[in-house]
Amino acid sequence: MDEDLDLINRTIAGEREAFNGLVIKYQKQIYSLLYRMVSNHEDASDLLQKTLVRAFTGLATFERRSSFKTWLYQIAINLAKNVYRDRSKAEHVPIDDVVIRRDPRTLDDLIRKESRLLLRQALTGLPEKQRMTVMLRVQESRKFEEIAEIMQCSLGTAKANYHHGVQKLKTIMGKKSDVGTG
Amino acid sequence: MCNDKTIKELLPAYLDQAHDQAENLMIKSHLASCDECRTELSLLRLMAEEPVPDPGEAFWAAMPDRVYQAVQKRQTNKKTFDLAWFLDRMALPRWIWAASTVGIVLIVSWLIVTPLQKRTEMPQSQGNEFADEAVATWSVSVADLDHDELSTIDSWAGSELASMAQEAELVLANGRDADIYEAFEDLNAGEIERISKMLEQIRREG
Repeated sequence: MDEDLDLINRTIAGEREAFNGLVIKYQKQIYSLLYRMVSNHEDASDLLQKTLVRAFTGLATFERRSSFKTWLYQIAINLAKNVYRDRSKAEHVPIDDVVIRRDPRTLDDLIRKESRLLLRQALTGLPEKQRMTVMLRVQESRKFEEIAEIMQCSLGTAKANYHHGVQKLKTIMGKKSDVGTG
Repeated sequence: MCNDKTIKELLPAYLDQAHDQAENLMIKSHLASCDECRTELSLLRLMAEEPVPDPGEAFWAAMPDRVYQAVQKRQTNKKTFDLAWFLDRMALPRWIWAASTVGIVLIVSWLIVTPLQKRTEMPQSQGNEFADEAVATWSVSVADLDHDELSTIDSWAGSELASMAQEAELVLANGRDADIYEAFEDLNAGEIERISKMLEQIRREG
């Protein structure tokens, strides 16, 4: 945190090395989050650049009430929302249309691939806040307190969104595939 | 159905092995007897294992430069935009400013002229009927006036002169002002001119 503040101050002062340091420190985490939201490299890469540009352009306005990382997550999620919304509208496949092949010869990895496809589509079907919360908690390993900050909601709301989201995913996945028990 | 929300909230971190030993034992013990939480853990594992392809070192190495260039470009555009915005604001209103200037000049002129007009008109409007009529018909020749009109003029002039004579007497009696003309300061140029013409008229008619 202190290291971030030092890098931020030096970046604001015009030190290019500090700027590079911040980008290198956070680019992979933000890319990972964005890739999971938009599911392709081109959009994730474009959104990563936009997120960082927006952050550095407005660095002087960063109020430092939350961590720099949380602030980056907020920007990334807000930018990705529109892409994700457009994508989910354009590519939405009703969950009932996804057929899991039950060929006895099907390999385990194929089952897992299909489960993943099903999971992605199930995630797409969740309300936005629940989907974001589940992704942040499970895929990004963010704590609920951090999620509450990123999503700008209370801790209780973050936990409720998580529980409802996971419950819905379980219901959909339980009906459509054998996720397995271990 | 398992309603142990505490365990469910701990499951994602259990995947990451982020709990201490006591918490891990508690979760393991719960999972051994809870099918639902085991299923949930499998689902969470599937999500967590969702692969994110690595774009490669070249991509990461180029990112700081890409972002830096984009930031510079954006800031330059912003400056250009701000300048353009300012110039637009300066350029657009030129004709508006011209119109506004004309408007302001008209208003100021009106404010200057109006009180002067009022000063010159007030005595006329405050005067008697003859004064108003005289202003309205000033170009009428005295020869065109009938006997009644001349009598009216005569009586008005007489009263005016008597009034002035009283003022002059007061000034002279009090001796406060040696210059009698200062006593006529209250009269405007129009009044003095009219009095002068009346006196001349009266003098001519004997």
